[in-house]
Amino acid sequence: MSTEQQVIEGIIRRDEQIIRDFVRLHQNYVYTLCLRILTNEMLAEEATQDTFLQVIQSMDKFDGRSRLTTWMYTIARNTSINKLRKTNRSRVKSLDQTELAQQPHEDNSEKPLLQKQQREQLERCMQKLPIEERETLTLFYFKELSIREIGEITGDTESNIKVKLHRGRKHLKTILEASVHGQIDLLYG
Amino acid sequence: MDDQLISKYLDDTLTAIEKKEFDARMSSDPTFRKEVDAMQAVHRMLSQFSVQPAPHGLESRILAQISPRVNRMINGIRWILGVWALFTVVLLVLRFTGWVNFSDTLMGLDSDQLTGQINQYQTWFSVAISMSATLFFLYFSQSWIKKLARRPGKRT
Repeated sequence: MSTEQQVIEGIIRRDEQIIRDFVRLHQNYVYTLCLRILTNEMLAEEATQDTFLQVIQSMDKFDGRSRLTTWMYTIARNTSINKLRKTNRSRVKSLDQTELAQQPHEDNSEKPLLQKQQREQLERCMQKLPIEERETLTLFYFKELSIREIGEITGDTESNIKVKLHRGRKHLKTILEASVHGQIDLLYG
Repeated sequence: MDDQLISKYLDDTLTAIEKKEFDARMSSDPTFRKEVDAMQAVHRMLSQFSVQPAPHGLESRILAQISPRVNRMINGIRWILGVWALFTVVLLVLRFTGWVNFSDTLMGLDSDQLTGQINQYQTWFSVAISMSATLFFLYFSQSWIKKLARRPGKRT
């Protein structure tokens, strides 16, 4: 029996320890995807909760045609996009207007200041990208999904994903360079 | 063309021949090299900060919502609401099929024309109010309970 199968069965029979481990393992990834789509911490948190609830409650309907994570990210993406439509936030909201810069996370305090600044700078610039590039870059840099799997989640072809990745990186470079007046090395340290 | 080549380089998907040409270009073309370095910096940043830490307490809030205690509470409320709704429907059926004359049975009045008319209006009104209230409560109470259960905590 595969580990994934054990997790699926554990969640179906509501094994609290398995569910706890599952949420702990994936919450940062799901939250990051929701945050990059919604660009708002509070909404991202709600979307993350909704995603996990939906995954857990519909686990018995999971047909196993894709990997569990692919299915979960599809739910997270759809939940976030629906929330985005509902809250009528189709345009990117600046990070300056969100709580991200002011609200420290539990593990940020011990990280070097430079890293924290870089992370915030990257997030700020990411939010200026079009939503399709943001979600594609986010999913790609999770480093656990193939191009084909990213395509399954977003509904794009593999070649479209490659184009969005390429455009996204280039677009991000331009935004980052503008934010540090062309000296990208300063940004990376 | 260069952009695609750089993307392939970053994703480590260049063929052996392309890699050789790429390295040669890097040594001979400073502009190309600068562009590659910049794209590589972006690539490294994206890799390093690929995942944002979830807010403190998120895990507990998710688990609280699927805990048996919360589910039992929600099921209990559903059951009470179901019985209430059923009771309303039964009352409505009895009233409108004429199987029970509420005005006579409940109030003990003779059914003279005037009292009967007043009672009819009162019954219509109370049935409409009762039904709307039931449906309203049925719909909103469950989403309210769920919202309460998943309310994000204060961050420290």
